[in-house]
Amino acid sequence: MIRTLRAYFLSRLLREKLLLIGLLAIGMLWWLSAFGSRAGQFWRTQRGTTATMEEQQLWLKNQPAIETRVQQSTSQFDAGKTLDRIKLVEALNQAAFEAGLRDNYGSNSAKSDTSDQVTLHSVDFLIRQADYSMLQRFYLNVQKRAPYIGIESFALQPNQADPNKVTLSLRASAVETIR
Amino acid sequence: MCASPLSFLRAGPPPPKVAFLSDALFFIRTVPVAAGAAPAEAAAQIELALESVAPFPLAQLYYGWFWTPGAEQALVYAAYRRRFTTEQTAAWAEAELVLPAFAAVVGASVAPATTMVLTAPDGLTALYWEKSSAPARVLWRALPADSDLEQRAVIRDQLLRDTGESQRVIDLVAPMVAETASSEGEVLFRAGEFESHFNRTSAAALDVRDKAELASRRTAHKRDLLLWRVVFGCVAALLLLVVGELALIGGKKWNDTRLAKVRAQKPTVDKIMAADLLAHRIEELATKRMLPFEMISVLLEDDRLPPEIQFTRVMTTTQTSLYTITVEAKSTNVGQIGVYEAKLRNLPMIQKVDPRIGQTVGNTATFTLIVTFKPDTIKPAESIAP
Repeated sequence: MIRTLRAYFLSRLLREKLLLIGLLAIGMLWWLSAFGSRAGQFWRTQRGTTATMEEQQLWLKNQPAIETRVQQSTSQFDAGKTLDRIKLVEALNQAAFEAGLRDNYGSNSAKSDTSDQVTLHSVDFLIRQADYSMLQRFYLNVQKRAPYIGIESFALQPNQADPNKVTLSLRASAVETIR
Repeated sequence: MCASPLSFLRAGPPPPKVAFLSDALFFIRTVPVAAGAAPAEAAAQIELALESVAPFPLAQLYYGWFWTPGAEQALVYAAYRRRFTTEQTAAWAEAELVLPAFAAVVGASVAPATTMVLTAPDGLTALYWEKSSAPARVLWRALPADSDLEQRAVIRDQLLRDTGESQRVIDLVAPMVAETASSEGEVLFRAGEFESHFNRTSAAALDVRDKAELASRRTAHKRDLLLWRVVFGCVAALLLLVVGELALIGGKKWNDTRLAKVRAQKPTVDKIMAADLLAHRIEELATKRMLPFEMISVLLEDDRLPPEIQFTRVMTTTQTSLYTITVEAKSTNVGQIGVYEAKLRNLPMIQKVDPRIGQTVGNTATFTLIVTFKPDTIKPAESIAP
């Protein structure tokens, strides 16, 4: 068949040969360009999928170890002393009250992270325009509840008009074991 | 009804177009060639020999020859150009080969001392092989237009006698016809069971046309072959692209299957990742404590904070480090920033102080100090000095 096509091609006029080559070359380059683009995209996608699968496999492989780690870290807490979200807010309010703060503090709930055995509650607590010494007392009261209450973030900002008054915002967290 | 457009593919390649000329128009000789001559040398020797025996200059002749490498003689034939009309020579443009009819048989494998008789409407041609490589003599006798079989037999016998002692005589009544050869570089002529083969080089030498014109035809043929190879390459590339497209379709299906698996595993994996993060945070909560007021005390105690510097904001978060505190401050004396930084840097519990100067107006500047403490050098305080 190739010899027949070859004989047919060679019997054509030169301009017909050149026209055929031109059309074939344009078609081939066009297709090659489009194919290259799609092949590149596919290659990146499949590499991304491979990486994701490998990462997933790693996590799945480590699942028993992570569950054991959660169990071990939770076991350091006395289940009777762990706090749920309400108790955490109560504890923070009490620490503020005992520090002498009145009506210038409040809290907002942040998200809770839960596993099968434990929940980690977080609360954003804000004390406005307080004396520095009162904030220190509040802080010490909170620290007395460690490790059942921990501080994850802390920001202190003096009042520009009255440097003796300070605003404290912190994120406190507490572990609640699920019994 | 039309035939299939691809029917010509099933028919195979067409045979080469050959223009056969009457043997009567040619004078035919054998000329010597030096032993061991290369094809180019042999061609030069043959042309020189022809020039010496021909009645006209070579430029006024259509001539060709048959010579096999290693042979010590070549068969040459030539015809005066004016014996052909313009119409005849114009028709040759379409032909791949133009040669006298007898030349088609000289490539046959023939036993020595064999005479072959070719019959044409206008005459008989006898080729005598003394050895097997090439005919040693070629004779032609005219046949009268109204000759009967008996007269023809007489002329044939006379021709055989003139040719010489032959052990074997082959009569070819049917004319030689060009056919498609089994390989690319071969030219095949056939008459019934009788075959004559030539390679491309020998066949080119048989052609009687002007040698310069033949050279330009060969150049054009080479160019056409190159163009054919380009076409072949393009078609091969297109076929490869088809294969590539099929592979891409298959690859996409394969990847879709993997993506479905990734999607199915994602909730489980997210849960494990959350558990890991939770374990890390609980471990940190159980074993480490953020001590922001204790760190602030270190920054302030022993009057190491110059009175020109005033803190505007103090921050720390577990997301950066338990042991790093960020202080935003302003100073009414830019020089004191460096002094304060040096004091802090000299403290044994401080690992690193990173000052970043912000806006300055006159001698007043706002700046940020990122102070990193050495792990476990700050202890929880029972009480903190104001």
